Amino acid sequence: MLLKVEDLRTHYKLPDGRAVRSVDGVSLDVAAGEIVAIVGESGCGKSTTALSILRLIRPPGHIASGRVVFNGVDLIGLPEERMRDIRGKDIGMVFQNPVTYLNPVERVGDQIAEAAILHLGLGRKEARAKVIEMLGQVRIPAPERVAQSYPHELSGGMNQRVLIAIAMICRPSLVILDEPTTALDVTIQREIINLIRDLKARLGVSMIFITHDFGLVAELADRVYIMYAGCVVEHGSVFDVFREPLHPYTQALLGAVLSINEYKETLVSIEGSVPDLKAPPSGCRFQSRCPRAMPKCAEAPLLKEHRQGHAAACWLYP
Amino acid sequence: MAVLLQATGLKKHFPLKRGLFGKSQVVHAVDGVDFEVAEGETLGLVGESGSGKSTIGQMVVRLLQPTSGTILYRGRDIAHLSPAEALEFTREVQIVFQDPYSSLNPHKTVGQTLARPFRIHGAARNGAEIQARILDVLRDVGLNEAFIGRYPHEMSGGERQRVCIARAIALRPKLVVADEAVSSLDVSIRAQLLNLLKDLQRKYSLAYLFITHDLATLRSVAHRVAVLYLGKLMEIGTTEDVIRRPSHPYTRALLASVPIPDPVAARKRTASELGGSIPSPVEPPPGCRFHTRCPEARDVCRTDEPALRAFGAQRAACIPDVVERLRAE
Repeated sequence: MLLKVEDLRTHYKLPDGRAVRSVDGVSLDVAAGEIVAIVGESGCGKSTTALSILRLIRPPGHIASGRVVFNGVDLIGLPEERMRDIRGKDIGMVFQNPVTYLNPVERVGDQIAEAAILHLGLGRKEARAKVIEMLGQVRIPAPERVAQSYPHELSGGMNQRVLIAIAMICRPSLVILDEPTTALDVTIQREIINLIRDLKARLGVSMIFITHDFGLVAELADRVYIMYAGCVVEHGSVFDVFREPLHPYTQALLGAVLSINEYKETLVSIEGSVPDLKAPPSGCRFQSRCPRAMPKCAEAPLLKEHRQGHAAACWLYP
Repeated sequence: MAVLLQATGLKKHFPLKRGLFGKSQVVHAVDGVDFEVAEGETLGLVGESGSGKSTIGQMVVRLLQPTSGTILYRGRDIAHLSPAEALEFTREVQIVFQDPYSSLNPHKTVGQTLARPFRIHGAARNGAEIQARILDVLRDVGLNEAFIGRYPHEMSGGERQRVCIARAIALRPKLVVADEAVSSLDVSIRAQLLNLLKDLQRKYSLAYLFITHDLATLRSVAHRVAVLYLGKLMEIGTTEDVIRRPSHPYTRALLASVPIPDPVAARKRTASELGGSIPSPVEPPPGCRFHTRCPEARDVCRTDEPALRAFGAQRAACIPDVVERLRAE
């Protein structure tokens, strides 16, 4: 297993001493060469999980407990310099708004080269060749010209390719993509989807793909983790989860998803709202909104494998 | 059904300020668009950034004045309304924006926000009557009296958008422009609000001009769809027709780009890409606006702009034999 996250807990301290338990006991695996999607609604803890894996949680947040075992090494205990070595070299990252992660006054070619010079110790000439090669890999036309451009001279889709090039230049074994297409137009999103598929197929890189969009999960993921209120409520292969969602939350979410292929007269909606993570209810976190809640739900259900590789945290599957 | 709103040759150009020595230029945000909205129907306006869809919405509610072209509301040109007619118009045509937080006054309670339309239009005789009407409209949008004293920051995004919808429908309008009204909401909340909009449509025979970039939403909401690209209409027709038999190469590319929430179907299809990027609306391409990215483009497309022609019940702005071939596939 390339990455094994075990019982991760990330809390944000409030001024009054209480803590928001944004990630509350998340475990997940990523095998070599697979795309794992983490999907959920706002505030479910999916992005915090990703940032925790990279140890990019800033105060007042902190990782309260858990293990993040990457290539056999627990990242949680590593000194910060070792971690800085891993970020960008062994684990790449791509975020939602490319422009906010690019330096507006530095040519994009130099920004892509930075990681290669820093982590791989390449000289100017080698780094230059590597940048041009990488821009080709992310299918940027006229790489020589684009390398000399500034971010504002490029479109949103181009900038996102640049960010992917930065993430990939050291050939990491894992790339974390947090809503990489959310800010892009549909036709540009399609290009990025195809590019991600292509990079996975050609370079065999593993990816964690964070999204709220089930359409993207269906297009890209091999396996999927569904998060709700800081916990994983279901995981399995993308085919199993879409064909036979186990958890009532997953069922409701999939019922609410709209598809261009299907007219829905009335949409399935989930009444109520997400529980307050400062004082989450004891027992199952979804019980107050769950159409199938029962007395037993006062006790928190554990994530249990229902079928090979398909697990849910729900008392319907004891 | 009777035509409620009719836009003809609608254009909006925004001048670009380039200082003393710069060349004066204009953004061709909307560049000659025709469409109609019938009573009680939902017309979806779909397009990517820079297509002009929001500019059209703002012209329809008179927030922007067209550079040229006309918008008739029940046969009257909305550019030339007397003050009394203008007031009547705002009563019948309303808008809901994408971000409910920035379209609600943070210093006002829900009760104060919702009392305003009744006051401005003298639609209720006294405070008690206003209160009663506010309660009615809150119930219409699935909220209750507990919300009357709340401020926007005390509500969730979904609740705030319900308040915006309540404000828009308070005076029983005939037409509501929904500009990406559900786009920033989570899946489960979006489903609640789409159900609400559909219920309100049935109950009050409302018409919607539903502006969105999301074709999957349109499928379940719109009766007819107008596809925009760089300020021009590429195709218009019933939702079923446009999705089942896209007649313009752009519509086709757009449909092929939309992710399908079904892993089996998503992996079966070969999703082709358009390539290139959307040209600048400051210097839109001559001829057909789409020719720079069109897989079907020919020489004539670079010089001549195709007119919107009827193909079956749809209309598309493209070379007839290309359209016929696409429709036959």
